[in-house]
Amino acid sequence: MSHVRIIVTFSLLCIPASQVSAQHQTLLLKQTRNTSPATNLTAAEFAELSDPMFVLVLKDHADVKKLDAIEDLIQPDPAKRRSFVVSETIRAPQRGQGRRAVLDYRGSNPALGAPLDNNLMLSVVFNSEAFPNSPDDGGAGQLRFIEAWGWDNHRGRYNYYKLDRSGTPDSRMTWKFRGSSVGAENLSRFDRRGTCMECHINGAPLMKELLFPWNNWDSSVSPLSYLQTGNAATWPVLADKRLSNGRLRSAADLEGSILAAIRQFNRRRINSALKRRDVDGNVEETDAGGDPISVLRNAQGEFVLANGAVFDGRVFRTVVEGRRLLRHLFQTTEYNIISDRRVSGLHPIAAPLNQGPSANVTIPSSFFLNSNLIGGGGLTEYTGLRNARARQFSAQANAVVKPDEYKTLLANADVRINNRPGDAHFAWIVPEASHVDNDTVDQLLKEGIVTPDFVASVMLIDLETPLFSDERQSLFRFVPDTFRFVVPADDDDLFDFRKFTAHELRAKTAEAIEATTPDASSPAGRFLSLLKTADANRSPVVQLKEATDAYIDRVKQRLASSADRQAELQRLYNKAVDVRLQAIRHPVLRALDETNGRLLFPVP
Amino acid sequence: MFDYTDPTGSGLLDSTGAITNYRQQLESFYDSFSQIQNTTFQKIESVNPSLPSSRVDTIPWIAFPRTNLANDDRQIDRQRIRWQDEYVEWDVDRTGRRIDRITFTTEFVEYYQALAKVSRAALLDGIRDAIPGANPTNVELFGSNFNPANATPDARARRFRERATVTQSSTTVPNPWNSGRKGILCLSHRNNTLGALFNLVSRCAVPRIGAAPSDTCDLVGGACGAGRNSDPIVCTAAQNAAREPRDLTLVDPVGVKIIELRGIWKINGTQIDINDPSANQGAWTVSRNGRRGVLDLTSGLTLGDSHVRSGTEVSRQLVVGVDVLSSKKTSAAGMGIGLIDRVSSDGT
Repeated sequence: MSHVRIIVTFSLLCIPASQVSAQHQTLLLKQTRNTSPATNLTAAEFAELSDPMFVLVLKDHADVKKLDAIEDLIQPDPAKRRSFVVSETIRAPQRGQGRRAVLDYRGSNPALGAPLDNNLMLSVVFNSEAFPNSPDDGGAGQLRFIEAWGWDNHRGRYNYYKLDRSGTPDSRMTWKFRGSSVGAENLSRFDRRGTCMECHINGAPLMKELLFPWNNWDSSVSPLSYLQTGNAATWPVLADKRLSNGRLRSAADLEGSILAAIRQFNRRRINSALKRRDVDGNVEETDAGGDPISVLRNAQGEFVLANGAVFDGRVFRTVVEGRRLLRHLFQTTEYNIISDRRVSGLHPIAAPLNQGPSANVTIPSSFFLNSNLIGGGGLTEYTGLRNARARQFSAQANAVVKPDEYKTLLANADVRINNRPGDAHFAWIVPEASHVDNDTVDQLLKEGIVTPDFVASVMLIDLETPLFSDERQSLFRFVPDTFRFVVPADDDDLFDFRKFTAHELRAKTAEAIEATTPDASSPAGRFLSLLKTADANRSPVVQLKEATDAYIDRVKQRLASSADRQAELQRLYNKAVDVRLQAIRHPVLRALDETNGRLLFPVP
Repeated sequence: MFDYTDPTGSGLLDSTGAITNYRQQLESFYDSFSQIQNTTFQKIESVNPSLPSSRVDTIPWIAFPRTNLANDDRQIDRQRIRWQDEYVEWDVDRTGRRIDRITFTTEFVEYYQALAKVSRAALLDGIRDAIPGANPTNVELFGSNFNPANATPDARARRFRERATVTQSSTTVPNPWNSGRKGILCLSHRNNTLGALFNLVSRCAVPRIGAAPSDTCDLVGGACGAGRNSDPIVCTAAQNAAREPRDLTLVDPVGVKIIELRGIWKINGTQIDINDPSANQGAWTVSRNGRRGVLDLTSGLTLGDSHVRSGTEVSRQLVVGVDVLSSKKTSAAGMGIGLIDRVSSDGT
C-alpha cells in the first residue's frame, strides 16, 4: 500500500506545472533537506503551523513569490521594516559582490493580533547592482531564494521556511516548510545535513557575531562607505527601498532582537522540560511534603494561592529532561564570535589600511574564560556568578597587545584570510561561549534549577578552556534527567550555600560519580570533590573566585615580565588560533562557517 | 543668532520669556565648538539641509551603562550619579518591593537654567511641566541662604545647576526634584552634559587619516569615553562624516532623544507593541519631544515573562540617540583638514 502511495505522490509532482490544478500550486510544501523532493504537507502538519510567517503569508498566499508582496502581507507600513547586512567580505567595496540581508518587521499586523517584533525574519541575498524582488526578474535583480523563520508562541517553537527552486521536478519556485526547532538539539550530524538545523543547531535564530563590535556586519561602529549615500563608491543598490530611507540599520539593533528571541526560546524549552500535571498540562508544583499545590506569583514576587492568600512554604517543581537542559553547561552546543573593538588594520579585504592596529589591542575577556556567565551583568543581563573580576578579566590582567607585537604574533602564526596573510577586520577575533548556552544556564540559575555553586563546580573544571572542553564534556554522563528543585522566592538569595547542599541535582550527580569511584585527580574526581564541599567558606563559588584571581594574576605577571611577555603573548595567540580551528573543524559546528575555512577566522 | 527651538516641544521657553536665554546658551556651544582646529563641525546655520548631499543621520545607542562595575542592577539604579553615564538617567518609583514606575530622562540642565534666569516662577512652571503637581521650595531648588527674588539671573541659573547636577566640587545632587527623592528632571552625571556632547562631536569631526574611524575615540583625549556605549558610536559617525569630507552639525532641537524600547513586552502574558502608544495600554509614554519616557509597571507589564526588577534591566532595552545633519563639503578650500600620516598610540 505504501509503495502505491509513493508512486502517486511522485506522479503528482512529475506532472508539468501547467497541468497541476491551481489548488496544488498554492500549496505550501514541505522539504526535509535541500536535496530532498518537496512533498505535500498533511492536513495535520498544516494545522500545526501557526507562526506569523505562516499566518500572514503561507497559509493563504503560498503562491506569492515577490518580495514586495510578501512584505506587504507581513507589514504594510514600510516605516516599520528594517534591513541588516552581513558578509564575510563586507569590507570590500568593489561592485559585483553579493551580500546577505536580514529583514525584520516591527509593530503590529491586525491579521496577527500580536506584534511582529522578534517573531519573524526573512533573509535574502542581494548584490551591488540590485535588490532582488521577483524570480521572474532577470540578471542581478532576480530573486533566487528567501529563507524565513517564524516564532510559534503557542507551541513554543521556531518554524523554518524557504522559497526556492529545489525539490520540484520542474524547478519552479515554491515555498517549503523546512522544519521546526522541536528536537533540533538532538539531531545527529547526519540528520542536520542539508537542513536549516545544520546552522540553527538548537533551533534558535542565529547571529554568530552577536555582540559588539559585530565583525562582518554593517554597524554604527564600522559603517560602510558603499552603503551610505553621497559617496563616490556608493553601490547603486542603495537606492532600493529596502536599503534607503532609514531602513538599513546597524547590527546593534539586530543584536537586541536576537538576544530577546533566544531568551524567549530558552525559557520555553526550560518550561517544556518540567513535569506537568495530567489534569491541565500546567507545570506540576508540590509542597515540601510532595503534595500538589497551585500557586501564582504576584507583582511583588510572592507566591499566592488561588484564594489570594500568600503561600509562605517552599514550592517544588520537577525537571524531567535535565540532560537536555544541562547540556548547555557541560558542552559547547553553539558558539558566538567576539573580538576587540580595535580595527586590526591587517584585513586583506579592506580598503588599504594595512598598517596594523593604530593602538593597543585588548584581548577579549571571554577568550580567557567564560567571563559573560561567570561575571554576570553586562548587556546580556545574566545573573551569572557575579564575579566582577572575571567580567573584567582583560582589564584586570592588563591583557593588551601593542601594535608591533600584534603584527609579530600574526606573522609568527602565519594566519590568513582568503588565503592571504592577514587578520579579520577587528583584532583578536575568536569564538566565545554562545548566548544560547549561557542564557540557558543563566535562566536555569534564576529558576533555581541549578545553583550558582553547581555552575561554579562545572566552571572550575578546565576553567581556562571556555569552549570545547573535553573535561567538562566528560562529566555530562553523570547528570540526571529527573530531579526536584525549590522555586526561588523573589527575595531568596540564590547564592545561599545551603541551597546547593540541599539541591537534588547536586546529590544525584554526586551519587552517579561516586558509583564509578573516580581517581581524585581526574575531572570526575575533582568535580565530585567540589560537589561534596561542606564548608560554605570554601564553596565552589568562593573557590572559583580564588581560581579566577589566581588566573588573572598569573596572566598579568607573565605579561608584565619582560622575560616572559613575548612567549606568553605567543602562547595566547596560538591558543586563539587553536580554538578557531576547533570551531571550523568541529563535526557539527563547522557548518557555521559558510566559507569553508577561508574567511570566517584567520587561521594558518 | 539661529532660532534654536525648545527641546521639549512644550513651548514653555517661549511663553515664559526664556527662549532668548536658552538660545544664547546654545549659540555659545555651537560657536565655540565650530572653532575647534580642523573640525568639520559647523554652526547649524552653516549646514544647508536642502542640498542634495545633505542628510540627517540618527546615531543610536543603548542606554545601559557599559562602564559600570556594579555587581547588581539595583546598585546602578541607586547610584545614578556614579554609573548612569550614557546621556540617559532614570529614577525608580517603588511600593515596597514592587516597581510602579521607571522614569527616564535625557534632558540637559541648560533648559531649566534658561527658565531659572527668567525667574523662580518660570523655573517652577518648567518643573511642573515635567513633574505635574511638583511643589519645590526655594531651599530645595537653590539651597539655603539664597533668595532667588533678589539674585541676578545668572546667579539663579548657576545655583540651580549646582544643586541639580554633580559638579567639580560636589558628589551629590541636593535638589530632591532631580535626585530621585521626589522626582527626576534632567541629567545630573558629570559626563552627561551638553558641553560634553558638543565636545565629543566636534573633536571627533577632525579628520584623522591613518587610523580606523572606530579608533578615533582613543585619539581625542578625554573628549570620548571609550568604554561607554554612546561615545565611540557618536565619535565613529562624526569621523566618518569628516573624512568624506562632510560638514556636520547637531540637529535642532539639540539633544538626545528616546527612540524605542527593544525586547518582548507583555501585559498579563500577552505580547504588546510597547512602542505603539495606541497599543501599549499606557505602559510606555514618551513625552517632551522624546526627552522623557515613563514605563508604567502597574498594569501587569513584564519583560518577556519576567517581572521587571530594576530600571537598569530596562535600560538594556532602551535605545536613545542623537541627530546629526551633514552635507558634503563643496571644495577643499577652507576645509582646514589636518591630514595625519601616522597616529601614534598616545593620540599625537
